[in-house]
Amino acid sequence: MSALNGVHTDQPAQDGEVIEASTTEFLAQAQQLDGAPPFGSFVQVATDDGLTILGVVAHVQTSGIDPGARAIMRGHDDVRDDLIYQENPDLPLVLRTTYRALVVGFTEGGSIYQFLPPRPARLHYSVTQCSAAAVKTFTDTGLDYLGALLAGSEVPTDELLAANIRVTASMRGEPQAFLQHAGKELAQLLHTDYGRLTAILKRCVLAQGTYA
Amino acid sequence: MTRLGLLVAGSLSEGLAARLDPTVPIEDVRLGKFVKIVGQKYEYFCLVTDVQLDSANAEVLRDPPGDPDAVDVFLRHVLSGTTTYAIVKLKPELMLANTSADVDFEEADLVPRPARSIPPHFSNVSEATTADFERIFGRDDGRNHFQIGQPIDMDVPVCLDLRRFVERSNGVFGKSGTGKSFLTRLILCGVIKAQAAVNLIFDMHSEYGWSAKNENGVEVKGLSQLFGGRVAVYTLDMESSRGRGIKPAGEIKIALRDLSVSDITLLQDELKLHRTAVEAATLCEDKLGDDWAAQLLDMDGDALAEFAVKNAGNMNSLQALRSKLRLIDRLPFVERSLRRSTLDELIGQLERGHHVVLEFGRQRNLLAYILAANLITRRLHELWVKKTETYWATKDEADRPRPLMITIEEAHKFLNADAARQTTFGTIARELRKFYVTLLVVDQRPSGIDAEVLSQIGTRITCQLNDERDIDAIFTGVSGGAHLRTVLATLDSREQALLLGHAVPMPMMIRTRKYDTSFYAAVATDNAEIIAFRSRRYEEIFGNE
Repeated sequence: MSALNGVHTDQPAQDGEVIEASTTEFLAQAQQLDGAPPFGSFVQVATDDGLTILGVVAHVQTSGIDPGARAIMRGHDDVRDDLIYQENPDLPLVLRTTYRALVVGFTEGGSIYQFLPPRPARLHYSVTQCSAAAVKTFTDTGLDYLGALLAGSEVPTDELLAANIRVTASMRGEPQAFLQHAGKELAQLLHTDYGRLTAILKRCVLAQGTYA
Repeated sequence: MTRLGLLVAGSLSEGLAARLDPTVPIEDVRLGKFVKIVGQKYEYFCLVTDVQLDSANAEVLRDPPGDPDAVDVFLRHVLSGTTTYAIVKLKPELMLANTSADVDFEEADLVPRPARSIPPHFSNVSEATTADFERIFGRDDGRNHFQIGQPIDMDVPVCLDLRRFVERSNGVFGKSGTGKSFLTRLILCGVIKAQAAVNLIFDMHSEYGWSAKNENGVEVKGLSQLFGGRVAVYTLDMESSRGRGIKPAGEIKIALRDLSVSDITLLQDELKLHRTAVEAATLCEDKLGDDWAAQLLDMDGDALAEFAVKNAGNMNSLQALRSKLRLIDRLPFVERSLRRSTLDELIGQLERGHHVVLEFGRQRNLLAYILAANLITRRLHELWVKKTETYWATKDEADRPRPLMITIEEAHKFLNADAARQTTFGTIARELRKFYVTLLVVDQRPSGIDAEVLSQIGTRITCQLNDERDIDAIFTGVSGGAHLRTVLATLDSREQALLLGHAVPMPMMIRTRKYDTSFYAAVATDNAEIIAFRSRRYEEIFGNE
């Protein structure tokens, strides 16, 4: 299978491009169909003036390129799933994957800030997935950014928090310590809502599976 | 300096509350722990009076993560220290200038004094360090300070201020088997070594003078072995002392003519005497003089009847009194007349600054103990009052009497509400050090001691007590007793004690110092004197051949 249609999610995430930006979030189109970074992972947009904006993927969507043209069913007889893509090589051209990232901080002049940047990301600039080292550096400075995720609108906040903690924990290579640290940060943020806190925390662990 | 948490609430009257840091294991924070709060101007020294589990959200308690599975284990880890946390209740006891603060302090601020203010919000609460203990309790210097033990959870000396200790009457309390006599021996060693006072010990169970066995059956040294010639052992039962291989300095005999009505009054319970019989004794003393007891005992039925009629006495009471006097007369150490008074010798030793242990041998019944102790103490008290009056008259330092500390066991027998008003012990306890005589009261029933006497007890050293009334009695006349009650209630049954009062700057729960070879070495510095004493004794026994 060629990498062009990018239907296999285990393939490395491709770079994307900013197609909509605001102070609190930016929308990027994945360079490859279905090639968005994982839900909850860190992405970054660098600008020319030394400002790098960090976001967390909060929503991924694949739909027709033309907002008016909705995708229709293409399968028939035995042609299903991947065979549909093989039979319709134009699909990657008329479909697109976009993802929305909530802005959680930025770096400027070597310093890391976990609050909103002075300017939004620039349109058509590249979005790349953060490296493990970058994620470690960012989360080492603190976990204030979880508050920004919690305040996100029109996103599945609880799922997003759990996903981000899971992804970050596995990227940092010391999952248990980070899980506890992040858990405690969440407990502070959600001290009035015990039910919600435990619901999120349970999702963090179930995926890790091996917390003990 | 290990940080424990942050001050979050409290008041001077109710005590302070600190939130425990999540990294500090709550199980390490014990009741009675000595902690320091560093304020902006002062350092505050506090005792942990309570530890409490708290939660920021009551919902946690309705649905606690209780399962042993991975999720709940994770939840517990996350919640502990954030949503659920521990609050440590502290009682501020002392304040002292924070020398690192940029403030000009008065002289008075540089010594520990009772806390009269509290530190601000979010002050650091930490474990006290060795240096803090030394600043507060002083260092065992062999003179003014004596190490009596260590804090429960640290290896730092906690010292008694001996000069202050001997200024007032003191008490060692605790139910039986909690190590009272070891503690008493320890304190006596400190007082003797520092020469803070001359000691007379009424040794009911013959365990202070020469070696005794501890609870595990191991022999431990007595005061005489540790301090040699500075401690003289007298006995009321020479046979018992010899049987244990001890040669006492003398055998004390008491003359019947020294018996006074106040002795009879004190023995009222032991002798099961009716009040009228005590009145009869007063009558006899009035009519017959000093030798009334012997004369009464010698009267036959007719003579007694004649005496009763002549003096308008009650025949029945007189008969009862006479039959009870026979019990006293039959005591082996009571004699009708004495050729040579060993009691005067004993008193002479004390006057010369030697310490005296009076062993009771087999005479360990209360009748013998109370009689002998009261009689001897009365003599001593009279003598010391006289000395004091001389000193007041001459104002000459050479005439100043040596402070005398009298150790009595089963003190409630001498100092109960009835007896305390009549006995010399009650007088001594109330007079404080005016006449340079104080008591070291050893007792298992402090509630049996008269409240007025208890309130005058300067330093209270208390081992485990269970009876509520006894615990109440310990805190008679102590402010903030409620906080300390819980501390006292958690003492182990062995080798732990609560120090409280005049000789310590603040109440402190301690593990008592071990009475072992290293202790012997620490107190018995003048070995040469002991060797000299032993050789002298050898000569006494075997002759100078």
